[in-house]
Amino acid sequence: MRNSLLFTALLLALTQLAQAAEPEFSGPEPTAAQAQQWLDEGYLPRQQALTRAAEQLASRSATLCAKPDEAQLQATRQAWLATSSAWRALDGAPAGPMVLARLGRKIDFRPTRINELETAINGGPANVATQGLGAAEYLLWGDNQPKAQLAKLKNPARCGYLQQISQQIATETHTLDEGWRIYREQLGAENPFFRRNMFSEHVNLLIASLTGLGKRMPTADAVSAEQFVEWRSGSSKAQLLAQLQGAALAYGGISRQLQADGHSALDQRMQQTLASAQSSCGQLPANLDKATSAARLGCSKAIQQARKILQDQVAEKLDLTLGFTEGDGD
Amino acid sequence: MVMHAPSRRDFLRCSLQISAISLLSPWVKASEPAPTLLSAYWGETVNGFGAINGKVVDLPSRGHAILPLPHGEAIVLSRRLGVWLARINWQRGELLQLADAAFDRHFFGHALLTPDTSTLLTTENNDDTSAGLLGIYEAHTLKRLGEIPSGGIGPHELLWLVPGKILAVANGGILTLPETGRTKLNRGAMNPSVALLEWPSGKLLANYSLPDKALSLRHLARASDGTLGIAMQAEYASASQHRDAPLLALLPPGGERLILAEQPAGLMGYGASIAAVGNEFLISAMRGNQLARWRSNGSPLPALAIPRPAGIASRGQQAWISSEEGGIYQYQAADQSIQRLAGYTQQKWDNHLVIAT
Repeated sequence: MRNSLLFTALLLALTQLAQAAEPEFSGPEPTAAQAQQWLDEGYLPRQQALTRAAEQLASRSATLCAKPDEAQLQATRQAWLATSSAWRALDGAPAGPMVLARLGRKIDFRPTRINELETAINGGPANVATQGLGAAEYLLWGDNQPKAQLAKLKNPARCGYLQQISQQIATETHTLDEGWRIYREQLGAENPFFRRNMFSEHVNLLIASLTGLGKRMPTADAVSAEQFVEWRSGSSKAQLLAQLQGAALAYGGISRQLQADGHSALDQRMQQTLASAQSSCGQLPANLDKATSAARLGCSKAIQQARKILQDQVAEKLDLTLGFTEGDGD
Repeated sequence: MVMHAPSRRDFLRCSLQISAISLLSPWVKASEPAPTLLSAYWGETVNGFGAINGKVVDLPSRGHAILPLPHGEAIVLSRRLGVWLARINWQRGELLQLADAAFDRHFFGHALLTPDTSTLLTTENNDDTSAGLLGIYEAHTLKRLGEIPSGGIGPHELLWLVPGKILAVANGGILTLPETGRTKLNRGAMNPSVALLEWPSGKLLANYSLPDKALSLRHLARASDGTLGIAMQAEYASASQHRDAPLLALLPPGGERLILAEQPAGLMGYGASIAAVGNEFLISAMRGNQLARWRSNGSPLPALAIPRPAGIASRGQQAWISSEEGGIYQYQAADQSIQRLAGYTQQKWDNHLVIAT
């Protein structure tokens, strides 16, 4: 918890702001019911899906270590895939406590640092790069050597390490249960601070997520498998689609607001663009490095188009002040 | 988490964004020595490249500040949250060396050489604690030697106040994290400052801030009379507040606090870069489409219209200004004139422009 001081200070500052005289703000202010509905439909289901999947991964890892055979390895890999997809879906539109708690850093630090991970398995120092989904993926699939991993995981120390980091992922995700409950309560509170900031925060973070998603899809003529984040498990396409699905789910609250404000045509355009991105990326082969550069470019452009509409049109219609955009030079 | 720190190999293979360096056509006036201007540029398409008299330098992502070196070389910093540092030869169009950010560190887009050019200082982020840092590198090899605190959050540009002895660091005060990219996470709770650091000890000598914490202190220049000019970018919650937001803060020689320059209306609160021409400060008010000007005592001079002004490089009583819309302009302090120059490469220039050594 070395970073706790900074974030505690930041949270305190935000709390003080909430209690201070009302700052000038722009953008929609949802009612308590509307804000909580957005959270209940667009965010909490994704958090709950992640905690369920992470519990399953922890459980499967423990079973694998107790009985390391091919069937248990496959079951654990499936649990990893489900957890990673659930995480990507949640990260598709982050909000609330997960940002300041830095859940992504804790459960999906990339790039995976193999040398440090191997050292940690053998009792060396552990750090943020030797834990989380990336580390678990390496332990389950290796570096393009999936068939060699069962023998390796029969080493109790190695499997024990997998079990330990799987449990850590489950614990970290559950740590936020209380944070989400508090955030929901704050959205319904008499003080409008969190409701007034909801659209600005959620839209900015959705833009950031779509920007990052676009960067997950290299568009050069020649690419290698290692350029895709989850290349070891071969699941990069599934993870990308999960993230898009998460973004689309979270968009629901924005959609409602646009419609209420009389911007149905824009809402429809945004929804179509998100659907188009899902379709374009969904048509890529499972092994993304086998896709043509034109197909990868099509997927990337579709994602960026969704980001662009959100940034240039939706945010403007909602009168939101954006954080740093890709166009800002600093 | 969506913005990770890929390896150097990943970057060499991925052309994710436009970024490049370009040597601009070195023609200014037949009667004057021609400056060679360097700037990064960017675009929406997917392949990065740079033009040097028709040659290109590929960079992994959008570049930001440039430090010219002798013999046609330069160091280029990746834009925040950057993960690479490059040495290039702009004369030959070659990427000579690419150094990754250290583990759990990101670059913030700016750097400075020690007066003997042996050491490179970069503004960086500690991704664990989010504390601002200055990374210390051997300039020739880009080998990382260590780090010192920057005295705040989100350090951006840095400048020698006393060469080799005292550094000024503009700590923008904005919290950003790798996993949420460029999203500002502490709007409404920012803490910008200008820190004065003793070199090489890193001792914090002074830390200046403004009462209005929504004004991010980001870029630095020094007038002939020694006044430090700090270009700002407003981060108000309401878009309408940006219209007339202050762009320039000043720290006079021996001054005990920052003072705000008198602010002309309608400059839209975003200073992309700053340079000094004698005792005059120029700020590229990118969103206001003006080259804003002040005397070093903070009194404003009439702004000059330039579409989307970006980088500013000054020499003597002249300055050159790049535009995000592609143009290059020349400013003459003597007659306060601005003219668009012909014969230059058209690119979407990044926010910083330098004159090659």
